[in-house]
Amino acid sequence: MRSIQFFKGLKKHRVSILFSLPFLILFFIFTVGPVLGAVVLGFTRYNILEPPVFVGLDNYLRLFLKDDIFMLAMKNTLLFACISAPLSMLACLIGAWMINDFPPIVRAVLTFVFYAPSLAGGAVGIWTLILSGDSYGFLNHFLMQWGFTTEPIQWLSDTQYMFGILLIVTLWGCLGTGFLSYVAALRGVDKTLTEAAAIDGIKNRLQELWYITVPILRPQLMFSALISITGSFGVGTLSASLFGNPSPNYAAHTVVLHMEDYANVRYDLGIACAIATTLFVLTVSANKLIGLFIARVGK
Amino acid sequence: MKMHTIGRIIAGILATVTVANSACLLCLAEDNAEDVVSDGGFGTSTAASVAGLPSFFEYAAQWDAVYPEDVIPVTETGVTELTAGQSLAVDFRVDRAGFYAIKLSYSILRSNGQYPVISLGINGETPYAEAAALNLMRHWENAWDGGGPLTDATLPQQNELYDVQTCYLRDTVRYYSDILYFYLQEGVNTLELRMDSEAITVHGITFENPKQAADYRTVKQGYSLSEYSGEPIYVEGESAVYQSDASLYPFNDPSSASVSPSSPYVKYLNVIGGTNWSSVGQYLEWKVTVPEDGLYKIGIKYRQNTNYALNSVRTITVDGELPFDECKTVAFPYSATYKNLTVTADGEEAWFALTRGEHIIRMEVTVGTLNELLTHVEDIVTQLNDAYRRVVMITGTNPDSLRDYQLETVIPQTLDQLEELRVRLETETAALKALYGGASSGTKIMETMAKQLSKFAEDSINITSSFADFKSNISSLGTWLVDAKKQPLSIDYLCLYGSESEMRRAGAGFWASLKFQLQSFLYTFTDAYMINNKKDTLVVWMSAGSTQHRILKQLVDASFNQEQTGLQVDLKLVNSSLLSAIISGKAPDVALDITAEDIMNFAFRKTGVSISGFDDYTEVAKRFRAGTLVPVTFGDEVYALPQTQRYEVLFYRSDILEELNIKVPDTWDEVISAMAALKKNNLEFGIPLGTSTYTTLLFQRGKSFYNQDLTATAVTDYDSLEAFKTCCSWFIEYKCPISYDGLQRFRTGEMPLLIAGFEMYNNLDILAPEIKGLWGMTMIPGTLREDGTLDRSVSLSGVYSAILKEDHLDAAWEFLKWWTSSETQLRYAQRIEMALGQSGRHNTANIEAFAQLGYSEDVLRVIEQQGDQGVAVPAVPGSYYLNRYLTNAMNKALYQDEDPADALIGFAKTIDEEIAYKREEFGLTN
Repeated sequence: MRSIQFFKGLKKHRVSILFSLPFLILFFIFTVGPVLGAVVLGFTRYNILEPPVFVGLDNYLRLFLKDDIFMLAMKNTLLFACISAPLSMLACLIGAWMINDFPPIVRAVLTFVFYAPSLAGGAVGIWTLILSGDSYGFLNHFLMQWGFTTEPIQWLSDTQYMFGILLIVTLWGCLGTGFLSYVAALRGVDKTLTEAAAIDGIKNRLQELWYITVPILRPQLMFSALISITGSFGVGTLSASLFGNPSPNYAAHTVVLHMEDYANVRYDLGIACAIATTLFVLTVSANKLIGLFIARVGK
Repeated sequence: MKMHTIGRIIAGILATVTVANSACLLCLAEDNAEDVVSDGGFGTSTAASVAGLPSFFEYAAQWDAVYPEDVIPVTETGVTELTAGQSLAVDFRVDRAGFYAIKLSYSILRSNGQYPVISLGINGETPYAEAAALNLMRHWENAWDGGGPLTDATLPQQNELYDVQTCYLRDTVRYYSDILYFYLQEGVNTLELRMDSEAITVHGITFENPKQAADYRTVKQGYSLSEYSGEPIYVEGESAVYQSDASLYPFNDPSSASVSPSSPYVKYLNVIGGTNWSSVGQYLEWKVTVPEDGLYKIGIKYRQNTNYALNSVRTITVDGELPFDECKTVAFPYSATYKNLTVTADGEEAWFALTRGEHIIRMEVTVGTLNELLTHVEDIVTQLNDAYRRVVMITGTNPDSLRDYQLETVIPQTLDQLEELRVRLETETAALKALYGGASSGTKIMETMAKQLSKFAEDSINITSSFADFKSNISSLGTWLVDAKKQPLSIDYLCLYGSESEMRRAGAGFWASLKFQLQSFLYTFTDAYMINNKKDTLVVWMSAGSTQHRILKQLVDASFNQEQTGLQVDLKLVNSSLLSAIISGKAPDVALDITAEDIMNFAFRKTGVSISGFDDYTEVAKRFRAGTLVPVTFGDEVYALPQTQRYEVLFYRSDILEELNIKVPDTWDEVISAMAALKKNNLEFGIPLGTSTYTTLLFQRGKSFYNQDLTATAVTDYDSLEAFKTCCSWFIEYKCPISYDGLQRFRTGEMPLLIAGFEMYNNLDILAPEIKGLWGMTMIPGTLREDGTLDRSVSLSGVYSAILKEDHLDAAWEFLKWWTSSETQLRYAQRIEMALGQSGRHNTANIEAFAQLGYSEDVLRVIEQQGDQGVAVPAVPGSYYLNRYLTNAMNKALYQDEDPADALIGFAKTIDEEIAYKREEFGLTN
């Protein structure tokens, strides 16, 4: 009975299904398929070149009970996500809000300027130059010239600076997409609402921001939160290109890097898949949590 | 509304910062580009000491400019063979004192393919710096039968000719770049000709001055032939018949529809010359057939898009004669696109008288107008470096800008010297501007330097406050010097035409170009751009550059016996996708240019093919140092053959060590004593931070990374920990710099002792002409063992070639044997060097071939002795963990003040666990 209903439904919506089919096919082949594959491979021991062997929960046991580095990577990633995601959201919002008050031409120029770093995603090279450990590295040079330090600081290999640097560089780079969506959304805020609010007793622009602008922007907040959470859980390539993979003493080691380490260096794809599955679960739950939180904003 | 304004201000500031960042990025990219200097295929020159010798200009200024017309034969008619290290000394009589040039007839003896280098002595001494190293040109034939257009599938061979050549000796190594004259006194003089590398046969030497050719106006009056009136005659540039270098091969320029011939689908070899044709003395010759006696104009379609605001200059001769004086220097100005140029003289397009039949037109790179200027600037750079070092000795490389070092009282001569250099620089800048009618990159660099020097003169405190700029200004001046000497030129075709016709237009026009580009773009979607392994071929992947690919392809076609194996070799250029190829079953039969780590990763997982089982393996293995095979051996199985080798040696600046009275250190203890003297003068010792230093120290104590049966690490015993502590102490106690640009600091002299890979020899040889003869290389410092011997072991590394599939096993093995053989490696290395220059030298792992690469005797001895002491780390499952945790332990010791030994011991267990885990995976017993 149920299946008949299902087929009836298919027939009824056949045009809509036909239209979404190209996307669905690609989505299943390149997204759903690999995700399912990773879940399955997570239960095997697989070195890429030889066929996988089923080992049950061994990989997870090894990860959670034996692998200190995985725990370190988890800690780094979570800490990173907790700091960078809200910060980047806030930065995007404030930035967009401020830019919004400029005349259109200036606004366009500024929007481009803020968006540029995310276009030039590969331009972390500039940071390695600024932070070069040589005494002729930019930052070291100025610090030494102004007498803050007498010998060059190894920004990219001294563990105490690495996490902070990763945070700054990530924030610099990710002001992009989320920011752009805020700029667009702010244009759509109905002027009459702010006028009405002014009559109703809004005293300053901060109040206006909190009670009017932000609630209207809720869909964009949601979007931006998703982007930044996924972004900060997936941070890795940036760290690898700044500090190498693995970074000295794993100071900037993240879950994604740990996964790459297992897959590309140690040829342990089974464990890498187990990590990927863990990360997947983590990201999905974090997104749900954020969703709940955003729903309360401005209420 | 206050928030409003603040918001704007903050946003403005943020924006400025971001923009500044990107601007910064741009200018840095430019700087980096400047550092990449190739040397256009120039041969080696010996490091004969030229310190203290005058330049030619200084030498020539001593006497009146008298150039007698006498011809003084020096040798008897007999021929003399000269090989490297030999010399020839002859007495001869001079009737009239004056300046004479040397005309030398010689032929090349079969040898390494580099330029022969000679040096000259008159009456027992080298008269000036330029005479200390002279390159002689070789003679090559472009073996192309002329049938059908050339494509990249039919690369023509370049064959060397060993016939007799005659030329006036000229400087091609330094900056004078013209015919050299020697002042001879009346009476008996002695000429000494020393062969520094390669070998020649001398057929005759005479002292005589070249005759001055008549100028065009005079020559024109003597013309009796009529002007040619037929169709223009085109000669494609790529059809050149003779040339001085094998690197002057035709190449494909797909950039434009106007290049002849061109096609969006076929890669025609349609241009010749380019950046390889840029050093003085290099020539190309074309055969031209003219239909009737007459007067012809010579037009050339060329492109010179490298040296902005500078001319490339060529001498044009017809059948070995200079038609008129103006042909001596034909200037080709900068042009970003192809352009027509007709040879002009006396303000009009010049006519050349040619008889009916075949003629040889030769274009030879000749002195630019810059030679004297460059010689002066070279001297200025040398002196600036010297001054820089003198300041470093007082202030250190990172002077405190708040401190007054009292440089006026400590080194007053140096400040005077700087002021004098500023005046000289300004003179040279003005001269350069006058020559090219305006500012160029050269004048900018010199002006910047001069401006900085004038600031220094205002107040010596400015020296310390902009010290890093000072250094980078000096080095960009040095780089410009190397660049400005080069005169690259690409030639599409030559054209002989007369009064009734014109040359074809050089551009293709808008619509033709658009069509061409569109077609090229669409063609990229076709099969020609796919990687498909054909079934019945031996597929070989290499991951080097396209030059390497082209050269190896030529070698395979020419000398690998494909009939014997019954398979065609399909050589492909594929970068870093071996793993994916293996998984998808598209792995090549043979892979070149792979690391030992990669091949062992495959081998441990049963994908590599062991080659130690072949009957003749032991024979083949003798081609290499035993150590180089260690990283690809596991148990009894060997999985790859080495291609190149690399290890470290010690470079030293003899001038600075002498000045500070430091002996070149033989042991690490001697380095420590030298450190005191270096530190006192604010100079540094360069030693790489990383596992290579630790490995070397460990090996020198007779220890190894792993235990006997390679199941666990052995880094925690007493001696090994000592080695680790010593390694860390270089950075903790002696404060050696952790990251640095070794080449630059060695050049400026702030790092007079430097441990670096021996390949740096080649870079220093080319890129640092200003310190030629002032530095040397020797074996790495050793450790004194208990039995009294000095152990100078060094850590070896290299790149490998391996078989990945068993489908065509025998053919693959044949290929590998052919590829690593002495002949192939040597020919490959020579051709690579011709194309990329000395800095791209292929340091082959084949011992026999390595000896013939072109290193001079003494340099080769050092490199070989050091290599014989080379030890390599064996392959172990999970070996990457050791490297990783060694770095981590060093990191802890260096930045977290942890005791080095403690740090390493703490990690030893983790490493052992990983090795055990991986051994278990590969089914090995623990």
